[in-house]
Amino acid sequence: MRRELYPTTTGARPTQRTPRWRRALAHNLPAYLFLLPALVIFATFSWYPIVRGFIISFQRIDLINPPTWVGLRNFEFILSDPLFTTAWLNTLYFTLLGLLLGYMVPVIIAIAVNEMRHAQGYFRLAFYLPVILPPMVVVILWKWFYDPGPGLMNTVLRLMDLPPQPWLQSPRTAMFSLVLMSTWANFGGTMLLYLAALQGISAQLYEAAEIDGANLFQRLWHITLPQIRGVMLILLVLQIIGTMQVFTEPFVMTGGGPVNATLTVLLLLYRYAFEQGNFGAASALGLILFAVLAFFSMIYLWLTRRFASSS
Amino acid sequence: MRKGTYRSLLTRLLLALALVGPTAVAQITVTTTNAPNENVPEEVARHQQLLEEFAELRPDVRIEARQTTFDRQTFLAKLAAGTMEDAFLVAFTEPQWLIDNGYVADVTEYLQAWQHFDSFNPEALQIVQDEQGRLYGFPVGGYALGLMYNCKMFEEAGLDPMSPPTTWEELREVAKLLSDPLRGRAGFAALSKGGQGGWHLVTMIYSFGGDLVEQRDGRWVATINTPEARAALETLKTMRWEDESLTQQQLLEVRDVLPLLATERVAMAIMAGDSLRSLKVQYEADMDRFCLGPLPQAGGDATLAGGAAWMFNPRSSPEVLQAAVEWSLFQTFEAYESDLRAQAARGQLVGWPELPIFVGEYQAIRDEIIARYANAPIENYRPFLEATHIRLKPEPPVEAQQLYRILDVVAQAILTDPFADPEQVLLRAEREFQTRVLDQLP
Repeated sequence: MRRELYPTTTGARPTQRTPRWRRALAHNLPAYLFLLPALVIFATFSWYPIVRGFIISFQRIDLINPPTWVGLRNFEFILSDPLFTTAWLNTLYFTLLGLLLGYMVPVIIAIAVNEMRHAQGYFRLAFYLPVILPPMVVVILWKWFYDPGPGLMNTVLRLMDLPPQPWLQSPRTAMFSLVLMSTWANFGGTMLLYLAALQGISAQLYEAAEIDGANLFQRLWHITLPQIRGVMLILLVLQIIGTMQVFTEPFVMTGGGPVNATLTVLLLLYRYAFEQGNFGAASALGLILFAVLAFFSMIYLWLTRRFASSS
Repeated sequence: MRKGTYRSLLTRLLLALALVGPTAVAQITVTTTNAPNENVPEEVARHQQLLEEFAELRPDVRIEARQTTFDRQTFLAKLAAGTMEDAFLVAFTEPQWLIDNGYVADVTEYLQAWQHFDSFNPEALQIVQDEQGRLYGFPVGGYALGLMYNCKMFEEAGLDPMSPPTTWEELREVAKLLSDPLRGRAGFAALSKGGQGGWHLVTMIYSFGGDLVEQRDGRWVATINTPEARAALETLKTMRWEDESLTQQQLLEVRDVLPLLATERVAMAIMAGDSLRSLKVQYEADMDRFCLGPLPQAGGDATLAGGAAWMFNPRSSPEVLQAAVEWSLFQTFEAYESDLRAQAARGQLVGWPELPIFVGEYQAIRDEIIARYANAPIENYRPFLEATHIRLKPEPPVEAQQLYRILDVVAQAILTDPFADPEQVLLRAEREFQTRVLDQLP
């Protein structure tokens, strides 16, 4: 094919035609130009740091003196650190608690709001409100909620004649307290996604079910849940990816304490980099976390493709 | 005509630039950390006065003090990015780490040129020196940790405010007596966050006669799990869970405890003398209500002594470094009398206990000046000042900040978990400090 386009034999050359790649380039040039700023920004602020992080994980570097190659020593260091296991267990615990506590809450609230005949807009706003609050406001608010003395939580417990709880003050309850706060602060966004999915379900299905005599729970079980199954699965994977990167809540509320009970992988990474100045170890840990999250991201991509093609 | 006007204008502009230019170009700008707190007008006024006085000596230097303090978490990034201040104030735990890694400038010549350089206490200077005796900064003052307590609460409870508890056993009893959970008042507050829990725990272990690290065959070895450290933790544990004389709220730092002291929700806490100044400046506390005693002891007869030092950016130019050293010396030492006079006039606390960092005549002059302007109730600090039998021990000599962070966790374990075993907790901390920090040293 190419030969025909560029004949090497002598004789009259056919009318000179622009190469295909050139035509493609000329055709798409405006599009590439529009993409260019985004590509430059991504390359500078996303891809370059990722590649640099990969390189640094095999170096000893303090940003001031020239880096030296140390092979796998950074990985050896973090794998021998007793806090490595603690941080992963805590992160998995946070993810698990987040799923147990936080996964079903937005589904239930979304279904409840969707069923409402009146004041649906008000409730939608009310449940979404915590998402609008700036994170520092949430932190200050919950610090007061969890104050073991005059805090809101213990005041409510006392009113109900229940014993006060230590909340963030005890290694046993600190992580649960963080999950509770995180769920409250974040479920509004997920709820809206479920609500959108729910409103996409055809009303005819419910009408048919009602004619067949299905009660509320049967409608829920046989129509609602199967219809939003795809969204639920995708949000499950997204939640796992999101909660495994938890940082703000333990960093601001507990600093990883008490007794490292809320030390997460990202917090440990932060400590390596900024408290110990060990950027190599921090990058190595980042690389391990990257591998784990890449696994879940692949599941996410597979799921989205599957549901996109089935719909 | 028009062309001529433009040309004339241009000539005038160039002439004006030529006249103004040299002064503008010669201006040296020195950036420093620790700007005065903008919310405290007295601090701002004091700084302004110092700037005006310094401008008379060095009119070519412009000082730009920034609302920031030295922070290990941002230091390296700032230094690499060229945004670190020319002069920065660090705690005594930092100079050796900074010097060993080449993160600070050698300012020996500029310091030696100062007229009172020879009056520096040689021991205090060791903190900012390398092995060859080169200097990378200078100490600005020292503190020894003691027991800050509310003397009025002592009086109300029938205790003599001039006889604070001198042993940890006595402190336990007094803390129990002064606790009043119904009124939300705790007898004692212990720190456990931001490295400060470890800092105070080391102090407590010193008072029990213990130590945290030692050098064997040129190698640093962690000696955290000792009988002295266990005894210190047992004391805290008993106070927290049996006596219930500690605050319910834990994970505290100094900045959390000061308001508790100022509002009389805590009766006693380990503090340094400069916290008295913060109580007055930040919380407008009635200083007659606060006393300072020696750190309670349990066989160690020692307390932790520390301080702060000005250090300098290795990437600053020689002219800037010289100006930075001159300004730091001026604001810390040279303007001493006018500074204290103005502080006293503004009603700030003058005369809180500090450790001397000079020797000989210059120190005597400084003592005289401070006596002239002191407005602090020095009588309230008599128990602290008279406890001369207590030795001053420096902070741990190697990676003190990392040790403090690890010991934070120890303090947290004891203060938040009634079932925590001091020996297990200390053993874990010892292993962590050894493998994660000491074994990684070059």
